[in-house]
Amino acid sequence: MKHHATPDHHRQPRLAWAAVLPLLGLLGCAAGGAPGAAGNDASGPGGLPATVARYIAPPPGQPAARLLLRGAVPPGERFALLRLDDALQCQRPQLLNEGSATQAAPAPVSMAADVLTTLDFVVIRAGRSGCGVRWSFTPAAGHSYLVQGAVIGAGCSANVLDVTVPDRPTAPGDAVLRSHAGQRCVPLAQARAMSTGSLIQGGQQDGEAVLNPRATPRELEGLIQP
Amino acid sequence: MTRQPLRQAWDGHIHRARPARLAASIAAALLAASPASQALSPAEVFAQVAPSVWRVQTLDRDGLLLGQGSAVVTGPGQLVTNCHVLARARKVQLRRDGQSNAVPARLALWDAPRDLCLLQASGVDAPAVPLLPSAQAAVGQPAFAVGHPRGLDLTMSAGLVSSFRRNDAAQLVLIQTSAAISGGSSGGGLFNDQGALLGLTTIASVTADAQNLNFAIPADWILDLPRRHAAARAAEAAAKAASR
Repeated sequence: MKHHATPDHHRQPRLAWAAVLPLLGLLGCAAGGAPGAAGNDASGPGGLPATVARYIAPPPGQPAARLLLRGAVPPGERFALLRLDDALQCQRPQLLNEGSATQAAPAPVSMAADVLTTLDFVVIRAGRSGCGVRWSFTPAAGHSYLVQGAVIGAGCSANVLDVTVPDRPTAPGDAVLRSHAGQRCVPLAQARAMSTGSLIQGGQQDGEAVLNPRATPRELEGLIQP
Repeated sequence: MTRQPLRQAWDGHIHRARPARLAASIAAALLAASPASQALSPAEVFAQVAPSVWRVQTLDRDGLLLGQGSAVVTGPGQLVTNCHVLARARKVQLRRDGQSNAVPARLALWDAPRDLCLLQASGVDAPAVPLLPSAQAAVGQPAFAVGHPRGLDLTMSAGLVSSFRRNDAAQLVLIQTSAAISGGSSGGGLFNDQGALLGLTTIASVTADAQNLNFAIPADWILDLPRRHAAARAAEAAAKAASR
């Protein structure tokens, strides 16, 4: 799916907006061979670093959101979703859920809501975790979120959606992509909001229809005369 | 069309004057879209609109080609295109097939949330296309995309208006069409069978499991551009003043 019907960009062909997939939300891609989420080569069972602990769901009564995970990986590979306990610095991974092509879809898990959360979708190949895509957002209590990732060639892509209303999936309002072009933890202030999935759904700004309420003229600055 | 350099006409404190001036010419274009008479053949549509569809080339700070797209003439020396065509550019120029010299253009109005930008190019001497209000468009009517996909000058493709995509408030956001578009089509025209502009081709689907799912921002938004541009600039100025 291309990302924007787009100009022809010479040096770096720009993907057209992947807007047609109704389930496409915050989309991130990563090349294969990226270091593991924990930066630790010592792998435990399943291919994740041995130091990765399992995430402990919030106790009853605490604000919580429901998290679903779906992955599309080739036979023999696995996928996992990590929650990075230090959401700002992308440190201290905790295993939220995992799956493979041959297993049933992972069961939903509960995670803490109303706090900045950084998730890391990783593909586990040949016993090593790699190809991670990370986002940060603030889950709302009582909402359901879906992380879906897939292996594409040597890399992978993944997105996160608010699926509280299942037939109206939307990108979480504050979601930003933290992994980008070799950077494994883009500072929050520099991370890009990528709500491409809602493009054909459009949005509103001051009561008027717009294509992308988040778009700014920043990329036009080179042409704007003072 | 006037040959007077627009920069000259627009120098100084003219942010207010610009939108008004542009609104007038855009409104004239809209009014020109009188109710249907007789459908033109695709060849006739092409002959009518082709002079008004230009290729946009963006250049980086070193003058190297950055990207290409399309633009449609909507007023004297005025062309609309998608803002994403202009992303990261330092210069913009317009070209026509067979013309050796590129025509310099400058960004005059922009509305990033609607992905709609207006270029001023005094060197463009081409007729403005009439705009078709979306209220007069219907699913199933013929639609023709004319643009410069992959740098292939003035490529026409035919299809239908497939659907209207609306936001949660039921406001029109995109006109879906089966007319084929590709990279470089952005900012090109989607026309009805009388050569009136339905919208600007903006989003294409290019996957193995999707065909003929293409989208154009509605021509109505062109009419709103001067007002929305002025409002956004005023809000920016107010925010700056408040932060001092």
